[in-house]
Amino acid sequence: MADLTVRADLGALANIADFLAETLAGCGEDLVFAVQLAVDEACSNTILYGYGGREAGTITIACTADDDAVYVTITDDGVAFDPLTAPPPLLDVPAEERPIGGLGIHFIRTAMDSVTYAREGGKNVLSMEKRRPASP
Amino acid sequence: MSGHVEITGRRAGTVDIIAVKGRLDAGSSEKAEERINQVLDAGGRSLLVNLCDLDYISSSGLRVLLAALKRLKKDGGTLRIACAQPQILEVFTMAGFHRIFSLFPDEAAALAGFTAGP
Repeated sequence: MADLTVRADLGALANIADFLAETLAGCGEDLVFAVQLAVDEACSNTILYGYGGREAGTITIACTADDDAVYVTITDDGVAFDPLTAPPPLLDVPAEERPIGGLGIHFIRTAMDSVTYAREGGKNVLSMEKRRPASP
Repeated sequence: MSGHVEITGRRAGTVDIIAVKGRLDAGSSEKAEERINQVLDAGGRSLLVNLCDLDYISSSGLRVLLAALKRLKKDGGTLRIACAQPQILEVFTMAGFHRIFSLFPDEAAALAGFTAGP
């Protein structure tokens, strides 16, 4: 299990993406991209909304892979927020009616095969799993 | 820091072309938004966004493109996207944006379709 702890700052998003690319090297570009997208959206939400006025805390991303799947756990000390309670966005409406925003959590759900949320010891813990494609 | 993104602009006839390279995430999308708004504020109504060298886009990046599209549609303008790579297209598809944006395989194809000015 590899892990990375960063200050909750938007500048850290590229470092998080690099960490995932290194940790998941050999897992295939599409899978790495999907995991990067889900983790990026979750961390962006935490950074933008998790600390509302108080000093930014830290986010820890732990990642591992076995033959079957990639497993990522994101832990942050922001305000309690369960992203899985967000309503799904409307995807079939014309541009003029599309709301600006609300897509990040949809991407997390779509890119990953399973996502669970827990509040543990004053921290948000988001656990995600992405199955690896079967070998050809 | 503004993120690992590089934004360049140029004109081809009446079309404003903005190329976005690198990562368009929550840390860098504001920079792209400012650049696009500069073009629209200056009266640009034909905007081509070139994503040939874009490696990554998140919902923050899509939000900037949607805001530009909404503004242009309201003002009778046109927005076209050129050359999004397969992983970028997949994010567009996940969002349903492949149905509301005009996507072209390359810049030449996107330019060819803009209505010629008077």
